[in-house]
Amino acid sequence: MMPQFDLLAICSAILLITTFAVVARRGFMDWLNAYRYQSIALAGVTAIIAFVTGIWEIYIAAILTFVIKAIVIPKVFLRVTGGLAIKNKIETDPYISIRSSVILSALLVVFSYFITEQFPFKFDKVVNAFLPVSISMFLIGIFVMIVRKKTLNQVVGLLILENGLFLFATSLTHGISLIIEVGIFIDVIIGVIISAILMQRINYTFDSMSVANLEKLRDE
Amino acid sequence: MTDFLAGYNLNIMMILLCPMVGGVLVTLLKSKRRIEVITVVATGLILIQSFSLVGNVLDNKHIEAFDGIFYVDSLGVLLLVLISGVVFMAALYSINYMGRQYHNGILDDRHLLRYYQAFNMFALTMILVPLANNMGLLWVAVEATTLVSVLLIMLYVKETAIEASWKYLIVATVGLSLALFGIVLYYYANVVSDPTGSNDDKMNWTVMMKNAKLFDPDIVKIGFIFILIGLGTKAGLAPMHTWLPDAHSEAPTPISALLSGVLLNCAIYGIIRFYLIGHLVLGDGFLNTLLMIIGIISVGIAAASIYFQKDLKRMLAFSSIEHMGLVSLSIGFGGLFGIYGAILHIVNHAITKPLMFFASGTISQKYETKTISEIKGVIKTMPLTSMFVLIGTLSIVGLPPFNIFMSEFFILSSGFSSSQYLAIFLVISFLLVIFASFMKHSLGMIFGSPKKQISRGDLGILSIVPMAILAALTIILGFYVPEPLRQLTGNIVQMFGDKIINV
Amino acid sequence: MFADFNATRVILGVLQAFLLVLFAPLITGIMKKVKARTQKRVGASIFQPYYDIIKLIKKDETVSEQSSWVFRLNPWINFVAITTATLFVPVVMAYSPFGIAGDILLILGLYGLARFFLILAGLDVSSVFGGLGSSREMMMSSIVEPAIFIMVLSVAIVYGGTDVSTIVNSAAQSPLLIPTTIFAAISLFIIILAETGRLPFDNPATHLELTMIHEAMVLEYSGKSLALIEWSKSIKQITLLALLINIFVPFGISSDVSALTLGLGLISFVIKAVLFGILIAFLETRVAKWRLFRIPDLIAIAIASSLIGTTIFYIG
Repeated sequence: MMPQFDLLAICSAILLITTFAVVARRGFMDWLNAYRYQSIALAGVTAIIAFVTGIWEIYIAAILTFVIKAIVIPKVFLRVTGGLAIKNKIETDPYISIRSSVILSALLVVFSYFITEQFPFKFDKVVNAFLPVSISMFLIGIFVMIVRKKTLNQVVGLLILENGLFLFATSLTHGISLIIEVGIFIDVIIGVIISAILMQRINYTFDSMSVANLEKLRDE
Repeated sequence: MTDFLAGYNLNIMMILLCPMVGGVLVTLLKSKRRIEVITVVATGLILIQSFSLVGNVLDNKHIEAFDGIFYVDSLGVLLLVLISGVVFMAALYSINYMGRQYHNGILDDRHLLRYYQAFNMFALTMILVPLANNMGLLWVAVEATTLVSVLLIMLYVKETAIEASWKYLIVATVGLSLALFGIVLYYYANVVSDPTGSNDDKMNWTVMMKNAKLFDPDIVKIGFIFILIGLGTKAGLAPMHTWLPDAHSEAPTPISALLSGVLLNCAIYGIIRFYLIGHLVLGDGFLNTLLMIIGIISVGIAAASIYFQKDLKRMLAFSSIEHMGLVSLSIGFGGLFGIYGAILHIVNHAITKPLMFFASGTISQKYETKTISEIKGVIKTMPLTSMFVLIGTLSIVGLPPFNIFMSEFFILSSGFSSSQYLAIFLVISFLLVIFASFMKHSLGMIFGSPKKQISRGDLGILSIVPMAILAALTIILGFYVPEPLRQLTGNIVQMFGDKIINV
Repeated sequence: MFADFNATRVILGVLQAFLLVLFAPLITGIMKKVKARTQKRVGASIFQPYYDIIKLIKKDETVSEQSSWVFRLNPWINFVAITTATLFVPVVMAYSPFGIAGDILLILGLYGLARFFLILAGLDVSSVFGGLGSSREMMMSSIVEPAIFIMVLSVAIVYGGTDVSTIVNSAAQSPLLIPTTIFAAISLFIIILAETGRLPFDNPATHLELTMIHEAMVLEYSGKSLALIEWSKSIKQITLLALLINIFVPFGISSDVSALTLGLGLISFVIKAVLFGILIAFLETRVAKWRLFRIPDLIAIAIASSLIGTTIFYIG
């Protein structure tokens, strides 16, 4: 019997696995690579959706995704983190231990599969494959931002979240109009650059990249 | 493309071009005096243009431009005038305030240049919000305001400013991602409701309003929750407000005034837009309850925090949370008075809060501290400024005959007319706490005698003029609503449709 | 499938189990060789494990005076338990004739038995290293076991039952790489690394007390006993690999008793087993041994992975 492949399913599995790589790994390079592979998979998924629906604008979105998320943003990060001490690049002491966060993230995935069942969406093959994945990416992104202390990790969480959002919009509605898509991409890039500047400033001022330092401002 | 140019509107184009050109010129000219003048002129032009847009809107009800991407109706133009007015005041005030920082050596040329560049960009992004018809564009604009204002908050290289900007960036961006999630859900509801035709304009607010009757109510419910959480984060509604006191107190004072006075309104404006769509789908009930609950929580948290507050600017930031909560509550109450009160409250808060921030900035520059207990006897050191503080305080706690009393009166009476007695009871008790603590803090600052020797005299004419204008408006709006404003609010109340019957 | 329980099949079943037992040290040898080559060493011949076993069998045995019967009996129990388990695993044909006697849970149970006696033997000689290895092994097994059972659950619900033959048969007929099985395969792969004591769980190539788990328990063995233990370790490894291969990439496996398909099945199994061995060896040169207390992180991934797989099957 010849093996059969379900391309959509494999793409969604890749997206989930790369999301988990960010949760389960502690080093910055692992997150960055996971993000890069995830973005490539995302661009692939977008191209598949463009092929299925035949809307040419989605091809452009796919190309933009690939260029910006798989090439530009990782480059920006590599440049920013070039001079950092290694202790700033690894997540040594998260608020919730890595193993618990892996399990909790799995529960989040279960939750998002469950919740998509409840939604009154019009299901087709694409929506079926990617909607729960996109919601899990969204939730896990938020989760990572909450439980991790290192600024780098929080930004990676934000990017995962954004990927989830993009996947959500693309799979559910076959993409919002291109102008808006471009606007969102510009926002993402500027956001990454600003957060990079801020991270450098945090590192310079506190000699550490942990948000645990950021607790001066509070009401007693 | 031809369509795009056919629907072109000179006013809107000018409004968008002014801050762009201003930003470019600031970058090119660099000298302190010149960039100040350019910024004031650019923002002044925006203000004039938006006033002429008011006339246009009053004549035509609404204007669509650039192939439906921009759409201005009464609600939009009202917010536009508020934004451009406060931006103009802040530009005027900046000359004095930032100039002083510059002379004291806190800022250098590079920082000043960056400040004015970002100031112009901030104006541009905020102005884009009320003009946008496409809700995706609205989101992009709101997210852009976050990014630009983060740049402004991190102008000072100090620990607290860095902390505030990081929190702000992360919390607001996550919140807005949730909002985009909700917007996509609305868009999806629109796409599903009308499968024919292209999807290009399905994100436009006007198209959504047109198709709203066909939307799936469940999707709209979920979408509105996400939007309320998301834009509510940006609007500083509790419990998503955690970033707000930090960011607003650490920003340079003119920027604090913009953040509190109008940026919060931009987010509230987004919520109102989606509320209007959701209201057509779901009617009264669900949405109103959500808005009421979140409003009461905001007022309550603000009350507790103001009572224990030690920092002047943080106190004002929490007061902004309170007022945004009141606006949300008022929309939740609904009815003629509710909507009218909410709109009026937005206007009044946008006038009074910058006044308070300007005054507090002047005071803290003079006393070189933001701690309330360190500041004493402002009436002796700065007679004019203390006058403005007094007017601002009396207004912001809702005493007659000042403007906020009027809108709060409408809000409370709408609560009574929709028989939400529990909510009214809670809000009134919170407002009493806020009243008492605000009076305690403010009167302590104004009267008494200064702890250390502080030279007499107010700080420069340019710091007085914006405050004087705002104070005058505060008093005038207390007993007289000008005709254009009355018409605009009337139109807005009509947009809420069948609500009027409830009264 | 169970109806045609005939002599040919029984013989073939015994033969394929026998094949595993014989073939096991070879895979270990190949893995060692690959590891050596990737580390730019020449390395020993791929038949070295056989030479080792033969040499060890010829040698005399030293047994501590303090030890009890547990220590002496353990190698035999280990060998018998693990060899028995091979009988239930389909290798060349998608069917094992002893399926009626036991399923995947029995295999795990037999491994548990072997492990139990190994741990006891480690404690029995009352040497420091033995106790250390035993306690580490107990900690490991207590966290690996839940992962195994969730993995088995997710495989069982996909392929309808815990019987290995049923699983392999329906796996051979369903499309390759559906998401559920991708996640279950990740889980099983991690479990295999843990069960066979490979990096990053345990370093099979060292006798450094800081890192060793399995080696510490068998440190006191010599001669015939050591040969048996080494052999049964190899057999366990290849059995688990056979499970992984036949559940998740079963293409090429023979589903009837003709010579052609059996030959094809044999060839494809050998190729896949060698490929997996090479993969694991490669992986071992890429990763370092993890600290003992970070091992749960990896197991957590296995558990999460199976959990997601199960979810996707039910809801996806």
